[in-house]
Amino acid sequence: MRRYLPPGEYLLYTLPLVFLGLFYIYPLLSIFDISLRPAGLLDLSAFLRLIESDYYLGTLLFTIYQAALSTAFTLLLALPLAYVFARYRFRGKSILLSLASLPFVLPTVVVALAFAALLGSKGLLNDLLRTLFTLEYSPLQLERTLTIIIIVHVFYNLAIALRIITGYWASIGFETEEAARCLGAGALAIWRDIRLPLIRPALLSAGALVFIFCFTSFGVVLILGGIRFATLEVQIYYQAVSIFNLSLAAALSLVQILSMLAMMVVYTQKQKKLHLTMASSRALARPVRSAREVLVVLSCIALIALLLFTPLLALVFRSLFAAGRFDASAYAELLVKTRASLLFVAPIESVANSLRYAILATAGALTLGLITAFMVQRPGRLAKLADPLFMLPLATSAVTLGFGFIVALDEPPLNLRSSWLIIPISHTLVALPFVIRSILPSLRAIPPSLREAAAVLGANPPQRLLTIDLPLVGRGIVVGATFAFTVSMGEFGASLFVAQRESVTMPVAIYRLFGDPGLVSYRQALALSVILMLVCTIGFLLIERLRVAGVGEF
Amino acid sequence: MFARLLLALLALCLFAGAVLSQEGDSVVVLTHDSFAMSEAVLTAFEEANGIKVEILRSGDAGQMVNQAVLSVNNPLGDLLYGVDNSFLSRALNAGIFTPYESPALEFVSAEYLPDDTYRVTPVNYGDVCLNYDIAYFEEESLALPESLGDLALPEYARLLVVENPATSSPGLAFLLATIAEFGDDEEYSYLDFWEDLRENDVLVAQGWTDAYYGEFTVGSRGSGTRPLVVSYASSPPAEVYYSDDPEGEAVSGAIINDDMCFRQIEYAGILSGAANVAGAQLFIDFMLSPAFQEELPLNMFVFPVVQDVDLPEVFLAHAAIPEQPAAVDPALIEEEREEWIQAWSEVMLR
Amino acid sequence: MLRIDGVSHAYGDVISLRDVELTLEPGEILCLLGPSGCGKTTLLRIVAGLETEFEGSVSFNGGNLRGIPAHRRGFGFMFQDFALFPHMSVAENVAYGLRRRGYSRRECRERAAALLDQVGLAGQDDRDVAALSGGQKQRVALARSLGPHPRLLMLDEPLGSIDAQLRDQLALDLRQIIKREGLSAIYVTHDHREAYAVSDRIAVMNIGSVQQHAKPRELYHSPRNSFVARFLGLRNIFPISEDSPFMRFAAYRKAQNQGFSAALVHPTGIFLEREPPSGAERFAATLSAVVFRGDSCDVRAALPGGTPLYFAAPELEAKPGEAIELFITREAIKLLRD
Repeated sequence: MRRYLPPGEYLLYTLPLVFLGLFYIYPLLSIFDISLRPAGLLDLSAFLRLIESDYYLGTLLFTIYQAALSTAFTLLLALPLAYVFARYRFRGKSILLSLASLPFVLPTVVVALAFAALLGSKGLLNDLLRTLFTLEYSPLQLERTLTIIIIVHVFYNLAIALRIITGYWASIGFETEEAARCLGAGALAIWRDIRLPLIRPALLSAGALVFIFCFTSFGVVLILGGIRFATLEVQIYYQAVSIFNLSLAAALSLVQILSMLAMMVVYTQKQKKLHLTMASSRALARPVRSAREVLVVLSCIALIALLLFTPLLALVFRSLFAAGRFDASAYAELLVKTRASLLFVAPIESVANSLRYAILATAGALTLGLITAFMVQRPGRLAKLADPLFMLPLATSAVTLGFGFIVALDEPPLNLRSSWLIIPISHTLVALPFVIRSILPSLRAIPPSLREAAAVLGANPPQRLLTIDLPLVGRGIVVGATFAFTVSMGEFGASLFVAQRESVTMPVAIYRLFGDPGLVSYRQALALSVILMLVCTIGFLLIERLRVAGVGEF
Repeated sequence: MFARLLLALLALCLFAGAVLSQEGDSVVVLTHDSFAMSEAVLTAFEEANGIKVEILRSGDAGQMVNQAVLSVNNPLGDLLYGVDNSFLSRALNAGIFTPYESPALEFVSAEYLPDDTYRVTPVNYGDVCLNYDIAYFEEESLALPESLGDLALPEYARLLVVENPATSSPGLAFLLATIAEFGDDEEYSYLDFWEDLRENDVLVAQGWTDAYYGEFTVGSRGSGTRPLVVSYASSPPAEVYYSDDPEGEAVSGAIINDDMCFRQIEYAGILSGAANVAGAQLFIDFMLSPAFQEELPLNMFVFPVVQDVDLPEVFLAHAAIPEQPAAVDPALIEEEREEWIQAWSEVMLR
Repeated sequence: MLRIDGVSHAYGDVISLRDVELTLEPGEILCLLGPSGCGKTTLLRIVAGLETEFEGSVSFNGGNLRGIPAHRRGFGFMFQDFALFPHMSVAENVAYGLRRRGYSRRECRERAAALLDQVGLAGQDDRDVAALSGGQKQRVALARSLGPHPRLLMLDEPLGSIDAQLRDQLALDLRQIIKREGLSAIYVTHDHREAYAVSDRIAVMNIGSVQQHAKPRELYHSPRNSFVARFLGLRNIFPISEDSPFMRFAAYRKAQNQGFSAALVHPTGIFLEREPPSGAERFAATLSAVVFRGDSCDVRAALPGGTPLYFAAPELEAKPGEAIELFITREAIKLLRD
């Protein structure tokens, strides 16, 4: 039996496909073209260079090494925290867990600046140590070290790991370890024989995800590490923008794309296994009983607060205080456009730009995401193909995308290179997989009988869409919108390639100002970071509230 | 409701975008991050010509040229200023400039012109060389390096900060000086020398500002840790001029021994497809005018190309001009530049 | 009024309906009865317009329904899972169809309240549907499908997820409400007791075709074939055979020649009384088991040769294993086709 779509629907479905084709496939093909045929002829010298020089192998190995190290530390910290979160019930737990995911929406530049403000050689901690021990030099030299990169990666990914592991742990419960205890197992034996083997799937899944995030880390490494700690991402940027070796940059992008695809495959498989076992019994957390347990819970809270909030507070503090006195002039400076500034416009314009692009990107990603989700959700071959297709941008680094844009979209009829439109378009592309992934589960959860019931009750297809499907995926839409908005606000890798002149976005402005050694620029960067952090946090909180109040659980 | 709100916001944004993109009569100067010029001079130009001058900084000199090359079809500004002889060929080959022969060129020595096509106009020159912290070398009773090769000696370990030649034009100039000194296919090539510098714990900064104001003990007023920096022969007088005592003694010095410096000439050129060609021409004339040329030393620590421009007192007192800068054949630079930078990166940034 | 004419349907290679012919008269409740997978729900969905790919024709009041989408048919449909809209309150659910028909908000509210009153949910308008019990959900679903005065109401296993104890009562309620509204209805179920309680006529279906189409009593007393008999819970079915103890009945003896393949000994024609009804044949048997059911007993007895017979009887004194006498009336012998 075959079903034919009405032509209008077909037309609608081609919209996201055309978008993906123009702004993803085509730029990517351009990259392949440049890497394989730099002068129009097949030329593998860029690849040969990659293989011959141990420098690029070193970049790849370092990328893997730092990601592995970051993942290990993240899991090591997340494991005991997740146990406490899963095991005990205490006041403020859910708020703490929700707050802990704040870094997820914070842009990399903001976080990089926050850590520089806390741990940098001119950071708060060094100030404190200098005053305490009356030192003349800064005792902590963390800038441009692997250590600070890893600390920031842990900061970023702790919440993700915590959520995955806590959720899984809460679902498998604690009966087995109680049984083991009755059978005479000590604390060590319980960790070794029961807990670790049981949560292995969650550990692997969280680990894979954290690894992927750290593997593609760009802003943090670029700002805090410098070129000596170049990951693949930074190397692509360096080769493309600084050395101008486009074919080598393209070859590196190819390596990056392939590594990402391989990792995504592994991750999706791990993820499937996780779902398979998630269906077991649910055990409830129990209240904290002994003084020891109170101590454990309190130290967990303290640890999270310390890791997550001190850098952000240091950022705010640094932006408001200078030379030990309250001084908010940095914020006033944002309004000033001077010819001496590294920015072409007054820094405040970047706020307006970012908001504008974020709203456009959110609207774009929501529209395309909704259409795609409906397309993917309906039976048929088109859907089977479209589902993985639209996940591809997720497996492509932002730097690669930005690079692809500047090499592909610079000729008529697609001459967008100097248009500001290229920024919301690139953000839409980056946000699209997030939106689809947010909408699809709730869309798939709608029983077909609901639409049929509405049909029988006299609702025509548009009415069914408006009264049944859309309200029921409302929560998914809101979540998707949050993602799109915060992703766009914080997008750095692609923007760095495409945002210029008047169209500078906040993260790019912050990066530029931070790179300038002048004190005014530095404090402007701090002030902008604080504003960006607030915008993202407000968006985050607003939508959390909306999610609770607006749409019912389903 | 939500949809309507979204639509309204969308419309607002598009409207705001349309308003923002409106332009008045202005000339946009695409330049590098190190561009500096006194406001008074720029304002005087604006008032005299009724044109607004907008400065668009696009990273270091290399990034700026790359940006300009990448947007050759849609120039980001009307003219580009700050491309030097080490990057010039990239820009010329990409065809980003449209020729303009400024009448003011008659006051400029022909030796500064790269060719006779007038695609670019020389504006200033400077000699990239090592600067040192006088106080540090006195306190440690350390002799100054007498040749580039000396920098690999153990006594200069952990003293030097250089700029990445991929991202900084003085960095590239210094790299070229080392290539002139050691050659690129000798037994002990420039890469071996850099390998030794690496062993000697040389610090690599991304750009001149990072290196000079961030890492050089003098430029950073003590917060940096390196008493030797790759900078300009004209930096010491600027340092004095901007110190608390402009009449006082120099705190830093330039090492201008033969073959230890590399001469950079910075050019300006009108970008093909510029929106305001007339304005760009006016600005190029202006850059060769005494008003602009006289300000160059104390704003960008470089020398004016126009002859007979008065140098500031402090320059006359403290500036040094090397007698024999290192020389690398421009044609060779053009041919090998990317390869040299690439090879350098592969050695130094691993 | 409704005419289903030669309707066939297949899911891929699996044929789900084969040349189905059925009619429905105004004000009638027709029950589609059959095991799961017999095609009854598919048939219902075809009538409702939810399945559009089929052969044959469905017409309503003389007009062919083909090509008319579900939302323009003006039929009501009650889903097995009720398909209540989880994002709407009870009253909003009930008013949904009314809104689509263009009623004003006020009219909708009033009619919804009246409908809820009618199904015994007065004053529950603003409740969250997720918080309702199974029976309450069923009634909201009913009120919702009744809302826009459907020209035809379809119910797909409406009591499928309701406790067995409640089912009888709810079935009766359903019938009363449908009758009170003067609606024609098609009711799908796999439970024959429910079908008896609700319907005016029953169509028993199996693997895509209608096996028998009759009034409940006629169906029960005269199932047409072994499948129908067995599906109605009748168990005394025996293949026609020369050495059967039932060769004593004239009808049975003629069965083979008339193309029947099996015979049903209807339990309503089996008696244990000392005073047998006239014209009943007497059989010696052994009592195998007695299950006490309160108002009566389920009895299993074995005829000589082992043929088991199931029937109901009032309280009896004999114990399992004892010899008993039983009587089978002529009318109890029903001949069945394949």
